[in-house]
Amino acid sequence: MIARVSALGAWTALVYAFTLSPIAVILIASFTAADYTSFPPQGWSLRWYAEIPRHPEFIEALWVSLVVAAVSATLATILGTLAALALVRYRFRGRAIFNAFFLSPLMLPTVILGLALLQFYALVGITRTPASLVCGHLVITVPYVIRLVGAGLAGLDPSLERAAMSLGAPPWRTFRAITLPLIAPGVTAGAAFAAIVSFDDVNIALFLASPRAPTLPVRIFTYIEQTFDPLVTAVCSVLILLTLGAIVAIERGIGLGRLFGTDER
Amino acid sequence: MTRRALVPWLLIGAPLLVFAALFLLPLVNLAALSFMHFDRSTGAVGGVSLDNYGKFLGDPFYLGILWRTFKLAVLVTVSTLVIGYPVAVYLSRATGRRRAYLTLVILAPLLISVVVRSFGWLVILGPNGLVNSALRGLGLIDEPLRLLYTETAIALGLVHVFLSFMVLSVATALARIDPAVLRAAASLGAGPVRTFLRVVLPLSLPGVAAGSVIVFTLSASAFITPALLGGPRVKVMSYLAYQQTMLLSDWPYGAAIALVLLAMTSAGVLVYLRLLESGRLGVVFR
Amino acid sequence: MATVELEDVAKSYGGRPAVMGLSLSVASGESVALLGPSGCGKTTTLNMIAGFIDPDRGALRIGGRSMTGVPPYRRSIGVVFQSYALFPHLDVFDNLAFGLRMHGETKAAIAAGVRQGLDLVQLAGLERRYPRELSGGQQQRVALARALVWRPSVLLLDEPLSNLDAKLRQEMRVEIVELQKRLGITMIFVTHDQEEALTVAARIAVMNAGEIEQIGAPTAIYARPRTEFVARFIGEGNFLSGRLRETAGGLTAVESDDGLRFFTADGGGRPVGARVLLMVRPEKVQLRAQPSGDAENSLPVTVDGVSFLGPVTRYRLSAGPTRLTASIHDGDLAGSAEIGRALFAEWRADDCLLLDETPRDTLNESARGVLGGRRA
Repeated sequence: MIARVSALGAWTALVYAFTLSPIAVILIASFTAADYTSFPPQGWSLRWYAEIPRHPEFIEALWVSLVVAAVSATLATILGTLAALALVRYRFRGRAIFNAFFLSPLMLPTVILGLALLQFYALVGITRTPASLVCGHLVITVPYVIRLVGAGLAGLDPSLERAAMSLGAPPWRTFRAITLPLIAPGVTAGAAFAAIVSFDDVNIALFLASPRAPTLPVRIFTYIEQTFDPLVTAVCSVLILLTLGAIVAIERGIGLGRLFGTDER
Repeated sequence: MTRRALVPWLLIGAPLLVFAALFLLPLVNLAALSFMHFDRSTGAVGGVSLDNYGKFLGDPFYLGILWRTFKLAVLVTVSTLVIGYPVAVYLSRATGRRRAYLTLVILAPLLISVVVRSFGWLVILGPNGLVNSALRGLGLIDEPLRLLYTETAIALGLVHVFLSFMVLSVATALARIDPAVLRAAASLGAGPVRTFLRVVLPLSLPGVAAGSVIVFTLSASAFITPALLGGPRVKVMSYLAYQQTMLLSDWPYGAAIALVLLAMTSAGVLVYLRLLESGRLGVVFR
Repeated sequence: MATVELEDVAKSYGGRPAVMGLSLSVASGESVALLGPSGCGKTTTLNMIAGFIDPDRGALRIGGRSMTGVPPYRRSIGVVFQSYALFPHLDVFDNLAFGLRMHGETKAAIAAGVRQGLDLVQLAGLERRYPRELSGGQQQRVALARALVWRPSVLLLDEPLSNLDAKLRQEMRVEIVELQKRLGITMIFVTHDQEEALTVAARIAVMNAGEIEQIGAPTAIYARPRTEFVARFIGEGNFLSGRLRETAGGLTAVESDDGLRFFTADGGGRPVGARVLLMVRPEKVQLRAQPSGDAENSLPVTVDGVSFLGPVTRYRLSAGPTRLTASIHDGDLAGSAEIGRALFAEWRADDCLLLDETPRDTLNESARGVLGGRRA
């Protein structure tokens, strides 16, 4: 039994190394002193990090990504929470269909969605701006919010709201004093997930982002298609560190397991 | 309608409108577009026709791309299953702190943009990358191997990107197995191998199926990873759709390709749902 | 304190009736139990009184005021839920203060009210604890205090004791009775436990399939059940089916399906030849070595089984195909009745009564389970 566990453990360690290797490789390669990307890096230097400020397009792209993510997350959280309340708390005709409808974007390849939105915008006459990108992101973020807030709502004892009402609280006060605080972890998780999904998205942003103000992942992608000099390794490293920082913040705040619904809390 | 019955509709109104406008309508438009004719000389779009589908299904070049996409998706699904299942077993057996950390480490990469993760593979497989440097350092080769821009590179990248989904899916199913069931098997005379084959494996099937559907769908429709690791010469369906739409401006044809891709992934989902309903996957816990 | 009146109240769910034409009148300060098996409509009725559910028809008045269209937060009702429904993110103080705050009390009044509330249920000092840190019994008391502290006119309880263990349940029953009497508050509570109803209520409404089958004081319901359902639901009984034969000298003779003759003082105005069910409570059945001559009913029986239950010993008896149970208090037979022994089972005509058989197909599964099968 012990030998088997060790074999499993060794395999797991290998797989984990496999999972982390591309990320580690980028981080290490970004410290190269040479003019080309290689692993192991030729010499050690911070020159490529110093190079980043001389390429404002990356910094602008980061800014666009952050703003789009923040706005998308906020809107998605509001819309998703409203939908979750309706779908979980009430019984009405067509509820199951609406439930499936709101969750169906998760089953749809994002490339197709991006393509479809691009063509639709052209049809309707909407230009490609960060604002129209936010709209595109709503479709892929709201389902996650609904799932996470819905899970929190479902775990809520329905008699709690009845108790509040019996004590004299009208619906809006009941929501504010009882429901909202108790679903807050789910709402926060939903918002965090929406922000991350929006920030990381490439497939939709590639089609919808304004050519003059792309998001950071899109900017990186178009850059890599031409060349992959160490500059982009440095940029990617910054992105990795930013994401890791967000992960730590989330883990401290609400726990990563809750984000993915693996948390049984 | 009484006031109380109106409430859910008020709540769901805004999200519904948003989704109708940004999800339903664009897809309907996409489908409609795929049945239209594109005039290459004028760039105009109009007229109903099945040309696009005919063009796709009649040309072995395009069918080859469809086949390659399907082949890769299946390969990646099977690979993630084989590679990930043992990891899932290990994960489901871990407890407390260790389990939390292990879960964290396998979840965290999912939060990093796929562009970055795929780029890492460029650095690993490139002419100056990790693999070639290692092989050269060991004296096994003189010239760098051409590892990039092949189907293998794409497969490798896709396996890496989607492995976590399979591991988590299977681990969740494994964690749901009542440990008393395993003890019962032991008390009835089954050793570890037979307990695994006859009890654990069948009970983990719902997780295997769910993970497989997710990985298959994602792999078939993946864009960034094949674009970076395969390049313009080793095309998959999603890249083809992108190329036709963005680079060649043949929107109807791009739409048709997208719908064929959608048909393929939907077929996969339907097979999964059928299996689920037929009970062949055993009891699925919600 | 307020009266509660229901007139012909009904509620259906998708064509399935839950409550059918129910009328009930609760006096101010009275405590009434809604007793019945699951699915009988008792919780639905309570929810309608509280305002969580709107009735399909009928009138509901609290304190004389019609409650049609009045939402729960504007009714003067305090509710104790089966799961207690304590707000998990608030401590005991804030839980108790909630009702007072919603009704706009001043800070000082709130503090005083919470203190009184905790004293009322003997939980002083636990203000800062959170519900998850309390035991089941403590949570129950906090729930009770929370419902009462802002002085509603009516107290509604939905199976409040079912999550407690037996001993705690008995203690809490007594406390609730005392509390209700001290405050003089009108109380309606729902339970499926007949012992609870008997202990706590001044009047019991026995419900079945959406209707009240009988309502009355516990002693009245126990001694004079009007239907087989009520007789079986409250207390235990021996039920013998047969036909009414004749009435003479204040006694009615009944011939059971097995050919035995019994006499009861209860004629009930039924015609000769009518099918009846004769019921006698096990504690009214005496066991004698020889017929005493005291009782109108005296049956030779054999002892099939003996169960010692502490204060009583239960005997399973048979006379041919007829089965009887006797509940003998405190060993009147002092160890002299073992299995196989031949004795005489006796009871007086005053101690048994006649009921109509309740047709089994009118009952839902739960009720059927309560009533049990009947010998064909």
